[in-house]
Amino acid sequence: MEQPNDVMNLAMAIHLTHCQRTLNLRHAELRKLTNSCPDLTQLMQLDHDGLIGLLTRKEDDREESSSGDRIRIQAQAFAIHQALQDSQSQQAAIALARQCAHLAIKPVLSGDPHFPEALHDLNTCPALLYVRGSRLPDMLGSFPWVTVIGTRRPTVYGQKVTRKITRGLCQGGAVIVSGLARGIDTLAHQTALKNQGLTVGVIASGHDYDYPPENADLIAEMAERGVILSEHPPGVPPVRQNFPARNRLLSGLSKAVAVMEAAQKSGTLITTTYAADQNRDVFAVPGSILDQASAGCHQLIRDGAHVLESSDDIFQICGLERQLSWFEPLRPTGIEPKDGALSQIIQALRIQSLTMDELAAEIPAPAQETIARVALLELQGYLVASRGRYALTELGDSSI
Amino acid sequence: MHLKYGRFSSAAIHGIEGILIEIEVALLPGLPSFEIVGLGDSAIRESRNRIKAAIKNSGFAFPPSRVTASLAPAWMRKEGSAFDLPLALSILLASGQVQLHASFNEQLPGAFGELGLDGTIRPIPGVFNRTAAINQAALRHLLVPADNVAEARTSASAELIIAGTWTLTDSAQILSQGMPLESDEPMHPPARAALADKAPDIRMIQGQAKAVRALTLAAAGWHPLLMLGSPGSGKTALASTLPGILPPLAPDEARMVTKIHSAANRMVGQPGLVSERPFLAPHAGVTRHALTGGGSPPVPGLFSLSHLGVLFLDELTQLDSSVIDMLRQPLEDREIHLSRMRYNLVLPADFLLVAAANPCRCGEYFEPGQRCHCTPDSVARHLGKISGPLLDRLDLAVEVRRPAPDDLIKTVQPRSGDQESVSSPQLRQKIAAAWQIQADRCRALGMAPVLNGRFEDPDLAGLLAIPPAVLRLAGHAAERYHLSVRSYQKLLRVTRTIADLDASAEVTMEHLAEALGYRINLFPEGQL
Repeated sequence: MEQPNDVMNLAMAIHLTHCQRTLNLRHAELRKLTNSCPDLTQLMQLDHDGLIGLLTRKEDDREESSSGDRIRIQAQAFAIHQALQDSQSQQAAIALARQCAHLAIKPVLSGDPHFPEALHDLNTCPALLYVRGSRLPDMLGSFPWVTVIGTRRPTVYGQKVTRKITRGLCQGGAVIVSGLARGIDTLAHQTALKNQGLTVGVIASGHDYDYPPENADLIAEMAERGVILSEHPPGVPPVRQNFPARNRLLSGLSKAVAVMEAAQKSGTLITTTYAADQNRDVFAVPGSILDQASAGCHQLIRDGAHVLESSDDIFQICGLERQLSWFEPLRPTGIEPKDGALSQIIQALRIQSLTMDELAAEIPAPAQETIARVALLELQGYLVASRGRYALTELGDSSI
Repeated sequence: MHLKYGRFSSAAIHGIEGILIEIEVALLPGLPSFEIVGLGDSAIRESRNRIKAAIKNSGFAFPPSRVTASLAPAWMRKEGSAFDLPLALSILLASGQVQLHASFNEQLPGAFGELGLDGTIRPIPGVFNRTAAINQAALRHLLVPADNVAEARTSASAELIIAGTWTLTDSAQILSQGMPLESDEPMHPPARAALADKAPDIRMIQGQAKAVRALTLAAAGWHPLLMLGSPGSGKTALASTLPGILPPLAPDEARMVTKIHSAANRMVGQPGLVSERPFLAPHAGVTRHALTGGGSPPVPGLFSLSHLGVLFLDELTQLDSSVIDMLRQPLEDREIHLSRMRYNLVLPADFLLVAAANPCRCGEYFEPGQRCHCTPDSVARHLGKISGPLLDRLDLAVEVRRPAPDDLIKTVQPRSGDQESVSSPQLRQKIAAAWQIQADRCRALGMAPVLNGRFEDPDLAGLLAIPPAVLRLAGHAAERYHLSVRSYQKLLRVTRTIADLDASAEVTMEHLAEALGYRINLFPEGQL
């Protein structure tokens, strides 16, 4: 087996996780093996007794070994030895490792110093994470990780809230964790990237799938400027049953889970259930009681989630430090809609987003004049249309 | 030997034109038989049986000899039952059972009509066009089915004397006794109301201010319009108000529209010129040939039938892409070219296109609430079915939502004192004024009058008198919204139409800004 050493190391990592899964080893045991042996290929060389030696090594003085344990460990070492020597599994691991190297994906074992520490709290911590993007080590320092999630079909309100909160979190130096799904997830990542923030996407498939397809550009940018994590090797498609498991990582990675907008029956609520189990703080942004778009958030608040009005809420309640902010506040452009009729439109949109016909009915001017003014404001970036409803942009919000 | 020969003139339809047909009958010695040569279809072959029965049942005798009839020009394919009457009369003349009256001066009259087995004469399609052909050939007399007299008169000049006949006996009598005097009926009976039902008043549309305005602009500048909206949002109702706000047809336009509709057998026996503009709304399953026309002999299709009127294409995304591509030629050239093995024809097709489509697969994209579950991907794929070249030719776009419950009530019960809503006749006046302004501008430029939507010139901005300040804003918009050259030109044309509708010689920023409000924006997910 003449392979370059790093690929062999990757292959060993994959191979080991395989063994762990088939033999149902505990994480502590796996860590004992990996920690004592920096060059994983050496594990292959160890015989039965060598493995027993590694497994019985005491990391903690309080650990007492009984005779029952010894027998169990002997049996275990025997099983591990057999599994490690299984050549079929070895070959599969080497092929996978080569593919990972080709795709610039780095498998990180749970014992690795670059493995996100927070995941060790989980009962079902993944033994191995496939990491795309080189910035993971930068994010593991003192930066607070916050998960920002919500519906795949946000309203204009949900979109605005996500931008505002994410922006605030980035300013405070938080790492924005989300699921790279449609809607709120996409917005959270985009806002973080736009504000030069740190962001981590957790996906439910292998790294060779771009899902959802319209996010291909975002995924490429995330790989370059952020990090994408997956517990699945390349070749695993985005199938329905993998998404809930992905959600446990979303909450597990962070100190806090912030729900931007969620309806009553939403996948987001699966993540918050995990968050509660994992002892993470859950935050929810309240919405309008006039439609059902935020009903899920309201249910969370009823169940004890914190009300989220600004990113400060998260920093305070979680006892997190706002890191040094390295970017500038939004600059006003200097163009002000001074025209009375223009400001009328902005005032109307401040309350809620409206269609052109609703605006025309609300503004006491001929419809064609309102159409013209709205088009002018849109051209100057004060408002945008989303699904045909006009809403103020940040610029429009900050005007007047 | 005495020549047993009879001759008559008639007319066939080719495309939308009437063509003079010479009918000859020769009675030859031999076993009794009856044959018609000259590329007739099966209706013409079957006419032998009708003619035989009609002649016998009218008290005449069918000649017991070899009867050969010929329809000239012989190379042209002919169809239909219109030649029954001239064929029967030729046979009667050839066999000497009818003598031509001296008043005809040896010049035979023209005739067309279908015969019943008992000798009655039934109406036929295309009388308007056939009469025009007879008229053009400078014939002085014409026999037509009594039911078609009014239609024939609409088309004929004063010199042509027309007689309506009910039966073959009638017609034979006219030949032997001379044409009856014309009745006191006016030569040009008053115009008929409309081809379709009367267009609904635009006042009935409530709460859809932007759509109403877009319709007004489409009518004022002959701008093709795209409506995106959910099922039941009233796209069809909106479009059907257009004939009511478009200025009425000019007399020569009315003649052309009547001619096309008569050729397509759409106005059998109806008197008068068409006065309202046509409104055609074909089903999404419409075929290419139904739209372009064609066949042998050729007949006009829906493109030509909606000439000078409105063609409403609903469910644009459901239409076959080859059908959608057929739209490009008429939108560009205002006519349709039919190139077939047997003929090359150019038919007029200057229609105002109004296209409608659901904005997404479920159609609820623009509706409030969270009913639409379409992903951005599927919305893009859905609208991607509309071909780019067609989108480029649609000047205006507007989204349509279902009216709110309050507005729904008003659509069936308009408030009498409603000051805001303008009625169709009022709007029609404004639009007619805008048309006049556009015609005057074209004349001042030494061009044939065209509406803004059809205005083509390299110096568009200069000729449409758009000032530099407005052009700068237009350039800014073009950059911001990534407008193509064609879209930029569309923007200027629509801007001019808005100013013309305002009766404003000056084009202002507001006019341009409003035009921007109708740009086609298929993926309206903006960044907040």
